[in-house]
Amino acid sequence: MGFSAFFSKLGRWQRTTPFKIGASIAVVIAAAVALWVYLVAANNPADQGGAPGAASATTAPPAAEGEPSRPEDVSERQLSEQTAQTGKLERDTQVEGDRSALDSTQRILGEIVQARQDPTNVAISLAIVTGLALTVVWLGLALTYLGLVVVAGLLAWPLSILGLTNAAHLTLGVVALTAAFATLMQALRLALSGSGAVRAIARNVLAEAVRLKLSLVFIVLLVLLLAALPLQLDPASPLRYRVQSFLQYGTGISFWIIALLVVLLSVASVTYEQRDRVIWQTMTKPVPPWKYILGKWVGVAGLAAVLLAVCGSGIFLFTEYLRSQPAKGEDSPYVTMRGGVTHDRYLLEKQVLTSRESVAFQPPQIDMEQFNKSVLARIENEIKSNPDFKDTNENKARLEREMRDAALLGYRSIEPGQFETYVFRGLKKVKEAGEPITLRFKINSGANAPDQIYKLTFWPSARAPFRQESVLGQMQSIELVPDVIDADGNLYLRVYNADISTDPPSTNPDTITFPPDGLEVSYPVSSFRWNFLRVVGVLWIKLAFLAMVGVATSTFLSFPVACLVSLGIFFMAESSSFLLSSLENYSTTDYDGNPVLMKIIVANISQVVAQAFRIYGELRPVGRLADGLLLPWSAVATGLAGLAVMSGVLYAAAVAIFRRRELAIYSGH
Amino acid sequence: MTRASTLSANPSASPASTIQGGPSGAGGRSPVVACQRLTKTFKDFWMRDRARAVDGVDFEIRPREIFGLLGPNGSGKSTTIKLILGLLKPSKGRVAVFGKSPTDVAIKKRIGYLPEESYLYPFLNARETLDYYGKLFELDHRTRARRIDELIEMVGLGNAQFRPVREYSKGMQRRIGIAQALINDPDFLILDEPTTGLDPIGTRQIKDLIIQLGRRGKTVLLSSHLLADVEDCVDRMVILYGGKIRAEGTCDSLLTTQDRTTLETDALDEQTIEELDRVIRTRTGGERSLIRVTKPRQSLESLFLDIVERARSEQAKTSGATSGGEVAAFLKEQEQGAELIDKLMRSSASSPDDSEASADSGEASAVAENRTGRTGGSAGTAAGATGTGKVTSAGHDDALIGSLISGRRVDETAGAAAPTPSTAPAAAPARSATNTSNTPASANLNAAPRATGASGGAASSQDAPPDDALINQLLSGRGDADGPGRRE
Repeated sequence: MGFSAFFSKLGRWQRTTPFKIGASIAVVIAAAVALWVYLVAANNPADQGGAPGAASATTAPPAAEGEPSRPEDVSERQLSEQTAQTGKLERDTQVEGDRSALDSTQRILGEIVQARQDPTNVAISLAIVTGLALTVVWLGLALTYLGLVVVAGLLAWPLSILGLTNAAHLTLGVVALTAAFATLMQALRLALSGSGAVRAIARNVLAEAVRLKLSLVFIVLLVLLLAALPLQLDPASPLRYRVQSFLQYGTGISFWIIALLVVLLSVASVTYEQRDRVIWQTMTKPVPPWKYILGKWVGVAGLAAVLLAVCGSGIFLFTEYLRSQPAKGEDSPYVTMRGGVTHDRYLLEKQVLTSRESVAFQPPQIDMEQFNKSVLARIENEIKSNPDFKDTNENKARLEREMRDAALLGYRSIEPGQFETYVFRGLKKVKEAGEPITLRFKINSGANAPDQIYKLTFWPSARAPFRQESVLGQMQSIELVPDVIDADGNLYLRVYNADISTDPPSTNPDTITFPPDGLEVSYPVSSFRWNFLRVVGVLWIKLAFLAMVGVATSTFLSFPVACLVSLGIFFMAESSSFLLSSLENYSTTDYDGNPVLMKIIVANISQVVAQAFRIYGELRPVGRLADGLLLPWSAVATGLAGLAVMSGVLYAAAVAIFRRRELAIYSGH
Repeated sequence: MTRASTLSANPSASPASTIQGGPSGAGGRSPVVACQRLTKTFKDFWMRDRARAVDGVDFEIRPREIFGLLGPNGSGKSTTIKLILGLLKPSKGRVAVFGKSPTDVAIKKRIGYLPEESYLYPFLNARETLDYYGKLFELDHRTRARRIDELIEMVGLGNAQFRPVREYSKGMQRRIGIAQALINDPDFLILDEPTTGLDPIGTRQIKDLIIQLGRRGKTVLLSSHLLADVEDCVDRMVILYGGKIRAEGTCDSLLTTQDRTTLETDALDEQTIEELDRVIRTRTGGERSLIRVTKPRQSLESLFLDIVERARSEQAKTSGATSGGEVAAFLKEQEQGAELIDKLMRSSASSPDDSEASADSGEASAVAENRTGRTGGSAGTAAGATGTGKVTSAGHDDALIGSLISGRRVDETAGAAAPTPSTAPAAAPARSATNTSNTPASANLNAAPRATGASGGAASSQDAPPDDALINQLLSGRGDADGPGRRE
C-alpha cells in the first residue's frame, strides 16, 4: 500500500461515525484525566514551592508581616507600607483594635492563594481546548489535525534544542491559531450549509474571505502578530505588567486588524460583485435585496466572530498560562520561600485579573449665588481690561464654563503643604460585603519632573493617615480595608501634598493635580473571565456594526469611495469620545466674541458626528479589561441596543437604496 | 455508408407557417413576456439623454416558444434582456414577465439566465458555483447534488469540476454559466449570446439543448448575432436595429424563398435528373423546370465534429472541457408527457379531415410541430451529407411534392435519420433528438424536417392518388417530359 493510498484510507476512516464517537470519548477522557492530574498536583503540598520547610500560603500568615518592605519599585513600597502585605496596616488595625480589618486582609490573601487550587480557570481552559478538539473530530479532521500537531512539534522541537526558543514558540503559536481558525471556519461553514439565499450568500462571503488575497493578508497578519506578541513580553518585568500588556495589546491589535478586515471585506464583497457583474446572476435568482444584504452582513459578521473567537481563546489561554507563571519574588507559581503572597501576585490577582467597579469623587457643590457674582465680576474685569470685549450670551457662557472648569481644577489641585478632602459616595454595599477597596490615583504637576518623587499623605476618615510616594503621571494603587467607609456608604479621604508623619512635615516643591480620571476607588464585583467574555462580546458588537456600515455604503458607492467613507466612519466612531470632550472647549467665536462661520460649521458637523457615535465611542472595553475594571452588563446591553438600532437604520437604508439601483449600470470600473 | 434518402420539400407548406396565422390561437394563455412600447434611455451625470438603447419596442414571448432576439452589436438585445430581468428599469413603457413586474422575486424562481459573458465567482470551483446558485433557489441538498452531477456531466466539465473557475478558459466558463442557468430547471430560459466562446461541439450542444428544452415545453429567449444559431433553433424572432424592431416573424416566414423548391435525394444520374425535369415541365405546362442540380458538400462543422468524435472514440486525453454528455436527466424529466402531447397534436394534424384544422390548432401545436421538424433538420442535413443530390426547381407545387414523398419514401428517410453515434458523428443532434423520441412518428418527423411540413403535404398526397403513380413513374425511369431542365 503506497503512502497515498494509506493516507486516503486514514482520511476516509476519520470521517466514519464509529471513529468520531471513539475519538470523542478519547478526547473527553483525556480532558478529564488532565483536570484530575491538575487537581491532584495543585492540592499536593509537596508540589508547592519544592523547598523544604516551605509553608502553604493558605495556612501561613502574610509573609511580609512585620518585615520591612522590599524596594522592588515605587508601587511595591507603597503597598508594603499600606496594604495587607506589610505590617503597617496590621499595626494600624491593632492600634485601633479593629480585628475586622485584619480578618479582611487575611481573607484576601487566602483567596489569592486558593486561586491556585481553584479548578475553574483550568476547567474553562480545558473546556475551550476540548470543545475545539471535539469540533475537529466531528468535522472528520481528527487525524489530519493530529498529524498537523505532530508536524508542528517536530518543527518546534529542533528549534528549541538549538536554542531558538522564540522561533519554536512562534511556530507552535501560529500552528495552534491557524488550526483553531480553520476549525471554527469549517464549523461556521457547516452551520451555513443549508439552502436559502441568506445562508448561501453568507457562506460565499466566507469562501471569498479565505480565498481572496485581500482578506487573507489580514488573517495571516493577525495570526502572526498574535503568535509573536508573547515573545515581546519582558520576562524580567513584574508579572502583572506582562499580563496587562498582553491583554492590552493582544485584544487591541486583534480588534483593530479584524475591524480593518471587516470594513475592507464587506466593501469588497459587495462592490466587486457589482463591478465584475457577478451580482447579475445572483439578483436574477429569487433573492430579494433584503436577503442579499443580510447574507453579506451575516457572512462578514460571522467571519469577525470566528476571528474574535480564535483571538479571544488564544488571549484567554495565554493569559491563564502567564497567570500560572511565577510572579516577581515567587520561587514557583504562587509560592515563596517565606510563604504568603508577593506584591506582584497580589496586584495581578486583585487589580488586573479581576473586574472592579470604580467610583470617582464627588465634585464640590457650587454656591450658585456666589458663582454668579463671580461671573459678573469677571465680565466687568474683562470689559475694563479689553475695550473690544462684548457682554454677549456666548461670551458669558464661555466665561461660566471656564470658571467652572477652573473651580474643578482648583479642587483637584493641592498646593505644597496643603490638603484637600475628597468624598466618594455609594459604597454601602461594599462595606456590607466586607470587601476591600482599591484607591487608584495619578498626579500631575506643572514641574514636569519625571524623576521627582512626591511624598503624599492619605488620611481616610476614622482611620490613621498613611504616607505614599509617587512619581508624576503614573497610576498608583492602594488597598484599603472596608472600614474606611462610614455607615452611609461614604468615604472621606483627605490628601496632603506633604509627608505629615515627619516633624516638621516634609512638603513637596510643587502643586500637584489629579487629572479628571486620576483619583478613584474601586472594588471587585465580578471575575476576570466573565469580564473578558463581555469585552469580547462588545468587540463583536462593534465589528458587526462596522460590517453593516461597509455593506450599506457599498450599495451605492464604488470600492475606493465606500472604503474611504467606511473607514472614516470607523475612525470617527472610535474617536467620538475624544471629539465630544474636545468640542466642550471649542469656541465658535474669535477672541472678540464675533462668531466665525467656518468654526460654527465645523462645530456643528463634529457635534452631530460625535453624538451619532457616542454609544460606540463610550464602549471602550479593551482599556477596562487591561485595568481590571468591570464592563457592566448594562453597558453591554446599552451598546448592543444602540448599535443594533444604528445597524438596523443602516440596513433599512441599504435595502431601500439597493431596490432602486439599476444593477446593470455601475460606474465602479 | 448509410443510404440516406431525404427529400426536402418547400417549407412554406409547413404547419410552422401557421404560427404567423394564428398567434391568437394561444387561446387566452398569457404571454411569458410582454413588452409594450418599451424604451430605455441612458442618461449622463446631468440627466441628459445619452443613448436610447431600446426605443418603443413591442413584442410578446408566448409559452412553449423559442424566441429569437437578433440584431447587430449595440442594437439593444442585451438591454432588452436586462429590462426583462429587472437589472434595468424602463424609461418608458412597460414589461411584464409571467404577468408580473420583472422585480417580483417570485417569478425569478421560474427563470434561468445566461448573461452575454459568464460572470462567475473566480474563487469557487464548478461544483461550488452550481451549489451556490442551487441554494439560492432553495433546492434541497439531494436535489442539488443530483442536478450538479448531471449538469457537470452535460457540459463536459467533469475533469475540471474542482478547479477554481478563474482557471477556466472562456469556453469552459461559458459551459458552467449555462449549467447555472439550468440548475433550477427553469420554465423560462434567457440565453444572451449563449454560443459565444464555445467550440463547434459546444455550440451544437447548446442548440440541441435549446431544442430539447423547447420540446419539454420550456420557453426560451435566445439573443444572438450569430444568425445560424438562431435559425437552427427559434420558432419566432424579432430583429432589432438601433433599439427598434425592424422585422418580426417565424424563421420560415422570414427566410423562405417562395419561388423556389429544393428536393434532396440520393445521388441521381443524369438520365433521372432529366426525367425529373421533364416531369416538372409536363405537370406545370412548361412554366417551371429544374434550375440547379448540385452535389451537397459536407460543411466544415460536420468535418470538425467528425474529427473530434474520432478523437473521443480513441479516448484521447484532455484536461479541458470534454464534449459533454447527454442533456441532464432532470432536464428531460416529463419528456414522455411532452411527447404524448406532441403525438396527439401530430395525430390530429395528420388526420385527413383535420388537416386544415391542424394548421389553426393553436400555438402550442404549431410550435411543437415546427420545433420537432427543426430538430430533424440538422439530422437531415447531416444525413444528406453522406450522399444525396440536391435539386432546385422553380416554383413549388404542394400536390407534386406530396406525391414525391409517398409513405414508402418517408419510411426510408426515417431509417436514415437515426444514425448510430459511432458511424455518424455529424448526426449528434439527431442522436440526442432521437434518444428522446421513442415513437415512430417522431422519428419520421425528426428525419425529414421539411417533411414535417410534409405531414400536411402527406395529407394532400392522400387526397391526390394520381401523384403516386407519378412517383412510381419517376422512380422507374419512365416519363414523358419533353426536355431537360436547366442544370448548374
